[in-house]
Amino acid sequence: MTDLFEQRLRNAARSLPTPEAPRSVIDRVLAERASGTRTIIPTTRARAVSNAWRVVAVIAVAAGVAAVGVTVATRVDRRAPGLAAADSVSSIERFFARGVFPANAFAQTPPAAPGGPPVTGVDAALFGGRRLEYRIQYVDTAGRVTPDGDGLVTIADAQYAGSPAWRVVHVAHMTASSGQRRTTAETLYVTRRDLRLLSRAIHEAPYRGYSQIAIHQRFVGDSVVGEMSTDGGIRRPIARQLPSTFGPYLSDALAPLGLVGVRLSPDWRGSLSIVGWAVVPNDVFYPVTLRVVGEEKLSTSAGLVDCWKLRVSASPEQRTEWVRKSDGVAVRSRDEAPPTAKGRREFVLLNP
Amino acid sequence: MQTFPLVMPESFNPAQLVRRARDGSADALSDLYARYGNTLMAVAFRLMGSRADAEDVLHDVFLGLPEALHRYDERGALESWLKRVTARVALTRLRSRGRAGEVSFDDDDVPPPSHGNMERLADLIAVQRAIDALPDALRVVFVLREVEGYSHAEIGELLEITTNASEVRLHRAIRALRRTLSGDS
Repeated sequence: MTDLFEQRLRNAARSLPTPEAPRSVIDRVLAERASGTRTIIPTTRARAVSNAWRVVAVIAVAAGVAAVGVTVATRVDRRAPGLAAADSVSSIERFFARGVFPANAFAQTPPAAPGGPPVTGVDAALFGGRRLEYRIQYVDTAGRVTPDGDGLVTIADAQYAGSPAWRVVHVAHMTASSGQRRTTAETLYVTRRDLRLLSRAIHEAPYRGYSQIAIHQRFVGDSVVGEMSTDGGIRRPIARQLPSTFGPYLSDALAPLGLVGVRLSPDWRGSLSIVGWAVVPNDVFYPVTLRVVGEEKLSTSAGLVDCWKLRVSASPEQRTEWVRKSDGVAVRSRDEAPPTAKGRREFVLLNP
Repeated sequence: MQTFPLVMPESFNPAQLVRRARDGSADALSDLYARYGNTLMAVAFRLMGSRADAEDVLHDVFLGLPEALHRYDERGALESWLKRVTARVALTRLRSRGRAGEVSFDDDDVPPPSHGNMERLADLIAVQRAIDALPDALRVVFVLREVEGYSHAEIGELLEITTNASEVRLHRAIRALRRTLSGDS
């Protein structure tokens, strides 16, 4: 029962003066946001969020695995101590980022400006029902081919928050530079009309000394937010700015389709950026410059295909890419760096 | 110290402001601060117990607000949602500085009486000091319940404790305040 003391105490507590919000706080906030600083604040109970993320991860991975009928390897290797790896969590070794387009991190400071006008004219309507099978291989100077990995991208109609979207599932197997075999499953949602990124879930197993790593991203306004999680409940928040000047932004899964519907020509030039995992500051996005350097007929399993030949660069990394003239799909991409002992890495469309 | 006016233009439209803030508009964020900054500062100050800590909370809230607003479903009042988010940020800070963790409820936690008798209840300074002297675990429950008006179920959800634990903490907070303010020892 509330007595007089409690009533008077409550009234007194409610009438206690509080300081006003100083202008200096919002000035500091605006300055920090203008410089790209982002943060995640808790809006729901932390435990509930964790469970929700876990559900999304399971769905995303299950969807990816189901799409190709493979089993995600979860080989456990706990030799790496602590969370040193979390500080260097990066997408740099992933499939498409180094397959179709170069993926050279910009370290702490992004370039001052993109290397060309933003890529425009991508025809989102051409994305529906796509199923792209790719192979990664090494070709040595003698022309010998050594298979290294494979991937599959499938695109289907979906709804995201009640709006039409494309659901892009990408599952890949490849060898990382460390020699570790990895399986990556990515599920991406983009708006169906203009391919704006909405959300992304990535699951990679194993990852360095961890049995798996999961990245969950949402794209809100000019930012990417989300969370990384790995073994033992280790988690890192994601909150990074994606400056509009470096757009359009693609994810790994969309990289082979980045020029679909674009009207290329002999003097065409454009730029886009690939979004990284964004856990660490040097893996937020990768500015890519593309330039048509010629036309070639490429020999594929489906016969000769008319292609535009492009030079693709993310300084200092360079690749050559062949894009099918009929629809803009990338059918081959080759690393132009000096060949390793295994040769130059290539990325080849198997079902052109 | 320069502060924002509390009076907003008649054209104030929360839904529109939220949409613009979500899209990263600095003006919209400033407008939200002008509209709700003082209210949220009060919540933060009551929970943190110091102006400096409250300003840090306010800073964190507005730094992350454009992205956080994507989780605001607009079914409830914006002010209530903002106050709850501010409370969460403040509580997270309290946890991280280790003051709201394990708390003993022995009488040793209750500060010794230092301010007169019941007549001193009218003395707001004495009340403020008595509340500030409470252990965080008791103070935050007292503030959330008696000042901010949250239910014990809501407090339990915010603090990740049971409803019963919230009730117990409030009871102990009031008992401690009664002793402090009435001079009983």
